Amino acid sequence: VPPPPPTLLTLPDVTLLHTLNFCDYLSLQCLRKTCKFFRALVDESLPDSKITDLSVIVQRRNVVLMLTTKISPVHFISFHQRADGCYVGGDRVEKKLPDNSYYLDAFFIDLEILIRHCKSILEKFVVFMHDDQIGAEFCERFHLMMMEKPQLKTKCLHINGVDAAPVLSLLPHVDPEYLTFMNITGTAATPDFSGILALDHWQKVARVHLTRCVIPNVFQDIGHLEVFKTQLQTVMTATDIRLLKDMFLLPNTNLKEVGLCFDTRDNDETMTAELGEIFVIDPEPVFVKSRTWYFKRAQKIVAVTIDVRDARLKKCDNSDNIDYRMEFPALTIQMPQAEDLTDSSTTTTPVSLDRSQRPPHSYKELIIEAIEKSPQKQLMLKEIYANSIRHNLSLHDCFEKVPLRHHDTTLHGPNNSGHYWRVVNVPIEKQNLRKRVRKQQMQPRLVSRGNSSRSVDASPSPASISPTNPLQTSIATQVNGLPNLLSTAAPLQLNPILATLLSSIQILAAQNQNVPTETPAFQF
Amino acid sequence: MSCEEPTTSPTPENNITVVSSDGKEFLLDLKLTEQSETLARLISNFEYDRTDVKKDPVPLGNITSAQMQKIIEWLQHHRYYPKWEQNDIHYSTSFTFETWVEEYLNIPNNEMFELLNAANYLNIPRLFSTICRIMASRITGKSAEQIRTVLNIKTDVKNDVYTGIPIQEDSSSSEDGMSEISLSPSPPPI
Repeated sequence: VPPPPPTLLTLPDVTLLHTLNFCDYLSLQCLRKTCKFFRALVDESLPDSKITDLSVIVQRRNVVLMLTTKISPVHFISFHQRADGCYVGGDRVEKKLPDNSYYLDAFFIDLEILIRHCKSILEKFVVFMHDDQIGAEFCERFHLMMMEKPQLKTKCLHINGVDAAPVLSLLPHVDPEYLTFMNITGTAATPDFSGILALDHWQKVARVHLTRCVIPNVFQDIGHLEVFKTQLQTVMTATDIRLLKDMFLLPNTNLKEVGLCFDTRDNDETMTAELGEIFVIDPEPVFVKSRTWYFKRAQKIVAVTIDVRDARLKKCDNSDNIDYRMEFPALTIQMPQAEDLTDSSTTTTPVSLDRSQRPPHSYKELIIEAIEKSPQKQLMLKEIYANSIRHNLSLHDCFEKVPLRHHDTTLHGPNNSGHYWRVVNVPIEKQNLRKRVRKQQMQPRLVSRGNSSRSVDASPSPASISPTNPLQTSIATQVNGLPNLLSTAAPLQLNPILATLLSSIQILAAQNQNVPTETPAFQF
Repeated sequence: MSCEEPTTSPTPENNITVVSSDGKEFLLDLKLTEQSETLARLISNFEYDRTDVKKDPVPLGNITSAQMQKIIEWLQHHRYYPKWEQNDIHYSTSFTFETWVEEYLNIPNNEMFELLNAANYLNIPRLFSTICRIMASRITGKSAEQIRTVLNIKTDVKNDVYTGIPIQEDSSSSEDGMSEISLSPSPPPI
């Protein structure tokens, strides 16, 4: 008896899934409705059957629904009101609904079906309203549709162009448990969104962006957020910054970044009176003109930077628009990664305590120095390597030359010549003696404060350079006299080449004549 | 069997014999087997590409002579294409097919499924992927009811799992609202 002819249902799973991988989201939704077998298959096996982003663009007489899945291109379904009724356009066809149909009615029938069948957690739910009036109507209908239904689960929520009342009626229908990012833009009337503070969403969310709206005294309620960005409608005062800075320094705050856009701010004199001296970076990078203050309390360090951006970076018409950023944290010491070695962008990186920033001397600069200091201004690769190392070995008293002994010669072969280098136990200030003789006269406070805080390593091993000292000096110099900054830092295991480089960085930093000698910005 | 490439009469040096499930023997040019992973691996494992090795007929128990005819037609047409390659990304995902392929696969659904299984068994990725795409193109753009008709699927859903509302046989129920709105109402007949 020959077997019955195969059908789509009796195909092996691999074959069937391969076939269905070519189908888009809407086709799979139709296939899903044919029988239970396909309903289970589509729900369980096919990633493209899940919507990731759901976007709604609301205009007067027109709504567009956009569905994004992992694989298929975005699906657009538009609901358009014309004189003779509502037209619905899909990816392939436009269809007129029965007479007297209203486009929002048709839209909400489909949206309800969609949300009812949407079992997964959305990545993004976007409502974009072009018109205040239709926005209010949309939110009211959304509220009526979602009443007594499960809340919409989404990770990111974007609402654009709403007044306070609509946004407060819409938010309760979004499940706060899954919400991590909330981006709300008000209207030209800058509505008061204070009601948001009372919702669960405000407490659960980690990142918030607010634009074109006001929430009086919002800075008191952002301690639990990680990132908060807003556009200030009022003058940004030095008192605001002090308040924010104090919040960053609280022991239990989550704050990582606060960004404020504003039109006007207190002038530098007021800022300086409130916050202390500006930490000047010199040479100032070309594209970022910034004013930076550092604050420290306990183990936390906060950098306050006001960037006066270059005109080409601005979006606003006002050519004096100023962007303000406050960043946390803090001090981490990182070994340079392999990919960092070819990165020349560090040359324009401002000196800062940001963990993502490194000392301002790239390998490029160190190589330039090595070549420039060679007699013929040109070096072979091995000479570059040797020269920069030799430069440092001979520069610092902490390195001592030791002749090869007899058994070393036999070990490395008879033609081998040269010396061993080892690290000798020298007090910190003597390690940098050559460059510091001049410095000590100019910056007595820096050195004396530095000395008082550093403990001398009593027994450095000849085999490995004791790395903490040059590194500490380096960082402390960069941050301009932060004497106790590294005293609690655990000793690092650096390889000798890195330690050498770091010590040369320290010297270059010490050469910088413009580093202020005072430490007014630190408030302990 | 219509082949665009003239069939060179295979000589014993450069061919193998395959036997279909109904006992019919086919002489197959070794060049043709490069499209099939199963045959290509078999030939390389048994060193059938060497003239001094005795070649036994290869039994293909899952493939009938009619399907084998069809497969050989495909292999003849693709004899100058690159060798088989597993990775699907090299194959098109579009629903437009060259005329030869459309004519070649203008066959009833059940024959198509059999051919798909045979292509899967012999692992001819280019043929396998093409049939899958043809099948997908027949599903795409249709309502649930139209898919049932085209693919002869009998519905086993009496009540919607989530609402308890019976799914009606005509596609005007609210459950089909999305599909009716966004999909073509009258698909081209297959």
